[in-house]
Amino acid sequence: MVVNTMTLPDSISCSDEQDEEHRQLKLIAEGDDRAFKSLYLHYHPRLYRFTSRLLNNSAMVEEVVSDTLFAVWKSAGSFKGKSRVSTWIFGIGYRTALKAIRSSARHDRFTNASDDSDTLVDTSAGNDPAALAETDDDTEQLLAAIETLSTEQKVVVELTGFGWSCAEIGEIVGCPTNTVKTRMFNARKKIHRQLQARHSDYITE
Amino acid sequence: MKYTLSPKNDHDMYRLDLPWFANGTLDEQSTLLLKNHLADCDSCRDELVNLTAMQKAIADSPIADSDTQASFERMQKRINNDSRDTGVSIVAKISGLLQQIINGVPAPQWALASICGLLIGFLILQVGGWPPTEENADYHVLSSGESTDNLTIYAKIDGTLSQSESEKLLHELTRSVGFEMHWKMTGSSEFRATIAQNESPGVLLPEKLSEILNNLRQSSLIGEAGIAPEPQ
Repeated sequence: MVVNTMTLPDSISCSDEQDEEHRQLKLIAEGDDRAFKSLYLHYHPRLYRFTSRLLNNSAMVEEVVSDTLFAVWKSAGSFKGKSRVSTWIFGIGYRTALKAIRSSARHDRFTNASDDSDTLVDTSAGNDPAALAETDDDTEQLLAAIETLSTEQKVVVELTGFGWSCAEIGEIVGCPTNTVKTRMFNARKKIHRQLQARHSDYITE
Repeated sequence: MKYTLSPKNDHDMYRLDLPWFANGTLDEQSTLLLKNHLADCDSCRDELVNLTAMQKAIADSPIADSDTQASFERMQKRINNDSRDTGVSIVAKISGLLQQIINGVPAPQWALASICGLLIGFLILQVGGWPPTEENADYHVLSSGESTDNLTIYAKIDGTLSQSESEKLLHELTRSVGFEMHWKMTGSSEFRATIAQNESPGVLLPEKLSEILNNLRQSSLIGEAGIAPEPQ
């Protein structure tokens, strides 16, 4: 089943909410199941959406989200309160997703080296220029162009699209805000080129 | 539309902030400056339109549905398995360690080590006062220290507690460090208690006495506490 879920930006939260989440995390560190359930139900859909946009494999998405929230359960006591709870959790999610992407890439390289079968090659629109060229709808083209970005660029674009601020994205991906801005700039440049190339092809046809 | 890699002027600087202006998370001051710039810059206005479209496309993009409740139930099982595995793992590690020790030490040395271990354990328990005897069963009674026969402790209560409330408070405070003492009012706010011979035969350890007095002095309701010069 596919649903369209326009949600409020993840970063919109007042100070009271941050305090409440910090309190929840302290309770989780003490082994409080109810606090964990509350946090889980709040973050699972958001993390699922975020990782779905980073990974193209639903089984992998479920695994990454599960691993992320399990890590939250196990390491709640190590949260020092230097960042927001939300950016801390999404930071874990991002690193877990990165690990899954790298491990999947290694697996694919190994499989492709030992087997010439093309069936394991990712043929999503982002990695397949032909598929990108065949996409007519503007939004579809835009999303397909985003798929062509590197993971580092893509995560900045996606998180901005979900309503996170530049500073929050820096906390999540673990880099200075200027690096976030540079990645976004380069991502925009690449997307622009992709769309221009598509437009030129369209005119030539 | 021209892209430059590093900000060389205000236009480039504003352009770097545009994505967060578009998603509404830019700080107030930067927002104000950017709004002024947008009024005069066609290129940035075009880029803002593109960014808004891109962000809307991301926010609206369909994703596969996920059952959060079912996922949480799976997580609960995972947590339970993990705690069980952790327990099993600790037991396995201890068992493995013991097995290694047993395997690594020849039988005669192993038997000798066991006997030595038992003897050391017995000596430690003896020094620590176990098993309890008549002399050491009650920590009120010790071989040296101050006689309790004529020892009276006084305490002066601050505040507005009634006589019975004060006596109850003092009783609880001394009881919490192991002494059943019966406090009696001897002045407008002064209370005294004697450690009765039948409750604490023999002598009182000085540090135990300090513990009683410290406990009384730490209470915010007690102004003063000490050993009374004369028994009442």
